[in-house]
Amino acid sequence: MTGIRALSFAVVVLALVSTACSVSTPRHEAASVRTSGVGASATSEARGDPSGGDPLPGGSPHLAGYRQPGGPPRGQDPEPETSPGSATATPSAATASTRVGEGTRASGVPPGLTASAPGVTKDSITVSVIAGFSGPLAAMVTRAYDGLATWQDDVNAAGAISGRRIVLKKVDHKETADGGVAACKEALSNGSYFALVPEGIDATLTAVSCLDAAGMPTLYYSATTDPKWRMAFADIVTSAGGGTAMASYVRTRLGGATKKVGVIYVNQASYKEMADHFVPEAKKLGLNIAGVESVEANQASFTAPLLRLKNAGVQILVISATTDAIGILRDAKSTGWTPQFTGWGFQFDFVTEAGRNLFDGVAGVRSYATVDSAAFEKYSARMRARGRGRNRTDDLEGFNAYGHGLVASEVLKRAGANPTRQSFVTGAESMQNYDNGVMGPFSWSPSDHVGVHGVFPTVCCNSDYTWKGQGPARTTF
Amino acid sequence: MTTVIVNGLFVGLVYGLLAVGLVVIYRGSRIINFAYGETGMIGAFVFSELWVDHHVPLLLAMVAGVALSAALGAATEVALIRPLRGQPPLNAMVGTLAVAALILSYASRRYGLYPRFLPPLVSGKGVHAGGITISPNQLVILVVAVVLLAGLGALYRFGSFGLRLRATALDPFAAGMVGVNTELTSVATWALAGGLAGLSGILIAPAVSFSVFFMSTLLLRSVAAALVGGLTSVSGAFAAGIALGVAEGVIGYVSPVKGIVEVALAGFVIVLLLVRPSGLVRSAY
Repeated sequence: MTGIRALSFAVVVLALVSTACSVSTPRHEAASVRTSGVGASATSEARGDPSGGDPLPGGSPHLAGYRQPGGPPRGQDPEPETSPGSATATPSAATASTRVGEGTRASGVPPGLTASAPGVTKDSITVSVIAGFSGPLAAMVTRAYDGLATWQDDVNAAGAISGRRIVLKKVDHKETADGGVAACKEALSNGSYFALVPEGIDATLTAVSCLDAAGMPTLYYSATTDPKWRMAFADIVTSAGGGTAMASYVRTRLGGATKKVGVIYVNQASYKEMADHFVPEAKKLGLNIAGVESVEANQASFTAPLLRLKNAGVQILVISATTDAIGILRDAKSTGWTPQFTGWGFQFDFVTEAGRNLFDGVAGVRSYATVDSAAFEKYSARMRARGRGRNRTDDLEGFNAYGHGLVASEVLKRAGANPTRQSFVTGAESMQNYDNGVMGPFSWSPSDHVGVHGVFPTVCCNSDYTWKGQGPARTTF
Repeated sequence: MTTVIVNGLFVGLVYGLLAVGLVVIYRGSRIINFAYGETGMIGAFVFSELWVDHHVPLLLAMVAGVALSAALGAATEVALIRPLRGQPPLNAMVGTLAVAALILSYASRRYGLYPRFLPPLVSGKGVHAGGITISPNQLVILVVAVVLLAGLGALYRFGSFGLRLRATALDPFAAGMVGVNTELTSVATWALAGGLAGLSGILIAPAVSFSVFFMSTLLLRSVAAALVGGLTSVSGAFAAGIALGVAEGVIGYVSPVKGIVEVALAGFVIVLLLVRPSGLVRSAY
């Protein structure tokens, strides 16, 4: 009996202590946290309508083979490629595959292409896609991979990049820190040129950190970043950037200059980061912050902090949460309190599908275009054409991943005709106001691999409970 | 403050409901079923699938969900608890953790990790009084909880089945000697608790973020409530659950210190176990 009580006691205490650390949010939904120094200041309005410019397949210049960009010089860096796993990039392999008449692909290869880096042959570029293929988010990861596979198919069908076909290799990080290290080692030994890491928290950190140390470039999508990474690039808006943009959104779009503003955030890194950047920016813009409350993920009730905000006279409530936004809205409305709800982190269709009428009229900003955008329509058409069509309410991951693929295309294009790993980095660093319509436009530079990203204003909802777009992405409103 | 207390009362009802199920199993088997939450979760998801996705009538879907949870409870007894009878209780409790992981794994594969939409079981505007709105769903939980509590009390106290349950809980060997089918009684206990878990899950699901984890997090508080009830008192555990919900709301409202509720709760459990290890309320069976 004593043993049972002791065990029960231990379980209860440990569980209570760990409540604050519980994760309720699917990894990819958490907006990323920026730990590097730049990004808090919203400086420019991103350029026009995301549907403009037709960056998606069908008219995409960067899918139609290599064109020397104005940015980085080709072959700038005679990087000695001695990293592990360079078997596919040996000169002998390249020589063998450039023989005349060896195949249809080879016959279409522009002259002068060489195996310039590990994972780059004269007719292919191998990319490791590192994600939790067997982890708890496997279903979501599979949908994301479908988006990448469609990007791959489209690129290859359109003549590839510099005549080199994209070859994707799945590498499983299992959503664990150890899995991230193992995935890194696999990517370094499977003949890949660079890696895409489209989701994960701990696994992303360890994988990208390991890849960066080994000199493999990475495009990642994560809740956290490390400013020391030299070869890694984040192609998502950060929570810090989201918080900053949110302040001007509240002021301009919601008339926040004359109202009391409250903040409630889930006590997890990405949500806190948003609040930590929103509040000072809001004060700088002259907003009246009447209260800031933090809550734990999966709380049974949010009534107490909401009542404090209500009693403080809050008229606009900024919520930084994902699935917990449902409970926050439910509890606020159950107490008869209906300020203007807005926020960051919950503008996902699966959240409104679960909360439905609770979200009516809730406005906010998000990292990706909505499903009623031209970009999504084009993406959706590509997915259908590839036999991967889905309901639009259930295709966020694929859309996001497709957008990451488009970023990869642009970087590869800028990396030169015979890309090295260093020219990949140089190419990425030359991206200025890059806009593919899927994610907000962003810029990278040699001193900033995270960048300032535009965010999309949205409001709930379309008739199928998907978020309704309210115009192009912007960094300030 | 009134709003906080009333809201805490309804949150406490949820804790109490779950704590009651834990007590039912402990009384019958002397173990804590750490798969209790998941057993209820799967019933709630099946209910949701039938009612929302396949438009099966509400009551029929509820019966199916509760029946599945009851069957799962019974299966746990047959497949895990019975073979481990005679072993230290710790073995079986660790086994229930494994069952919880199995159910969670299956549910996350089948239903995903995103929360799902589940409309209120009963529609209506609820009751408005003094600036407080009590939703129809909360009222349903209140009514069902009271009925369940009364029913369980009557079952244990008056019925022959209750007598067998109590006899088996007190001394399975002696109960067997006087003709009680202890194995059947044990299965019935686990099925009853499983059904309770399913019913609780179905009632609670519309009021929370309905994901595969929704019962797991709630169960933590319920274990604390069950401990207050000495793991044997149904009414004690239920009352403790309510007190816990109210205390949680009041402490959270009065003190804006982050994490204060968790610290207060953990401190209370520590003190309780040190000062009164058998719980504040204990049933004499």
